[in-house]
Amino acid sequence: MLHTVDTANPEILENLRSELRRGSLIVAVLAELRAEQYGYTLRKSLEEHGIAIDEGTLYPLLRRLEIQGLLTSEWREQDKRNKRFYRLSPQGNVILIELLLDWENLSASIRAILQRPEPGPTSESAAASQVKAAP
Amino acid sequence: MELIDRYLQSVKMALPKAERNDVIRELTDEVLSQVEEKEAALGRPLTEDEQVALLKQLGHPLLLAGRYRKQRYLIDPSIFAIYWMVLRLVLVVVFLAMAVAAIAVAATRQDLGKALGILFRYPFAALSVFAWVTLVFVVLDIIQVKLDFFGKWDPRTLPKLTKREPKHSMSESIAALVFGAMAGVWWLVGLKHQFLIFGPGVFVVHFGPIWQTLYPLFFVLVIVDMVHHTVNVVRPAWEKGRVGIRVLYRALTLLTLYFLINAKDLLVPTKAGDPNMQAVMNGLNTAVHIAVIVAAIVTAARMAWDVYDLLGRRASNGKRAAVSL
Repeated sequence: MLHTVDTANPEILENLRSELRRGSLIVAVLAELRAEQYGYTLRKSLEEHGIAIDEGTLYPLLRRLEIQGLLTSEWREQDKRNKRFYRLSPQGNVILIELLLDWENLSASIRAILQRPEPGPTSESAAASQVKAAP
Repeated sequence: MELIDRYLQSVKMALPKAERNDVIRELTDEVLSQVEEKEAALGRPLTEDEQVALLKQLGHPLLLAGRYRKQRYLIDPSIFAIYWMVLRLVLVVVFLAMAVAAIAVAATRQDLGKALGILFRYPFAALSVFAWVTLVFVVLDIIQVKLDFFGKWDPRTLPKLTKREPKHSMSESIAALVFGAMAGVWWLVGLKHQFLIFGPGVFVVHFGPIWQTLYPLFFVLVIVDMVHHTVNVVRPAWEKGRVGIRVLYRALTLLTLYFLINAKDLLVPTKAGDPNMQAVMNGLNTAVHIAVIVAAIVTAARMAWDVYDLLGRRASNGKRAAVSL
């Protein structure tokens, strides 16, 4: 039975959505940082591409990715303020390619599952739908 | 901007010392960039309410700072279920030990205060158990990560299939154990200090000598009852054992009831020699005798059902074994 978003539990949907986004966010951040950016512009750029990320998630993530060696950073002055610029490291580039491959494969697998013809209705469910359809 | 400075200061205080300044410099830039963007759009400085809204969007300082720390567990979620099971088991065993001690004190010294005192010390013992079991599991967690204990498991060591789901929930079984122990203590002490059972009525009537003669049997009954409740808690899937202990309990109950049925005076007057009282006592004794006989019939019927259940289970196990062969 299909439910619309209105009838589905919004909390469950939100939790599942955040789980789904969690891994993709890292790929998006790594992809964005192929070109050097600082936190604020990175967040704006992601938002423009439809990937909204709050500050409390982005900055700790950047720090973690830097500790893991996937990003490099340096402090520089711009617009009279010190800003920390991030960029993908060579190791981060290798990881990004691997992750993108996995992401493509996963996406293709899900598409294949969705394109598979749905199994025909069982005699019971067909009878039930007939009863429902009757005036 | 005082509000923003206060916010950043609060975040700073909650951050790990080593990265404090670095993180705050970066966050300051983020917040000021947001302020500049909003002020440029509005063409005026932000009001206090607008600053509050902006900071609330960033989240509570403790939560924001917390995200910079690595997520840590005292006990890893992968072994939490085992930790919980062991903690429950040890708590039950400690309760059982204390209840047995309370019953022993009640039976030998006939001191209700001391017996209940032992039971009332259980919350402190439980706290101590909780601390020790947790400590042991913290150490085990460290060791199991190093030894890869869960990577080396063998499916052949899994418990055998059970035929039926346990009848009672875990909380019901624990409650039955606790109340069973308390009722056992009350009964054993009450037999010695009968005002606990009869209340003020003890000045008129009390138990006949047969109840004291059967005292060791009552003691054993209480212990078997507690073992039964403990098995319900510790091994709820052990159907055969549970039914077996229940049969033993019913057999002992029947034996006790047999002696009571054959006893002459189950209740005796506290003050002897009153002819009016004697007539009342005769009526009371007849009523109690009937109640004991009814209890014996019910117990016998339930025991017969349990024995049938036990034998039926054995037969079906045999059949299943034959099929699987």
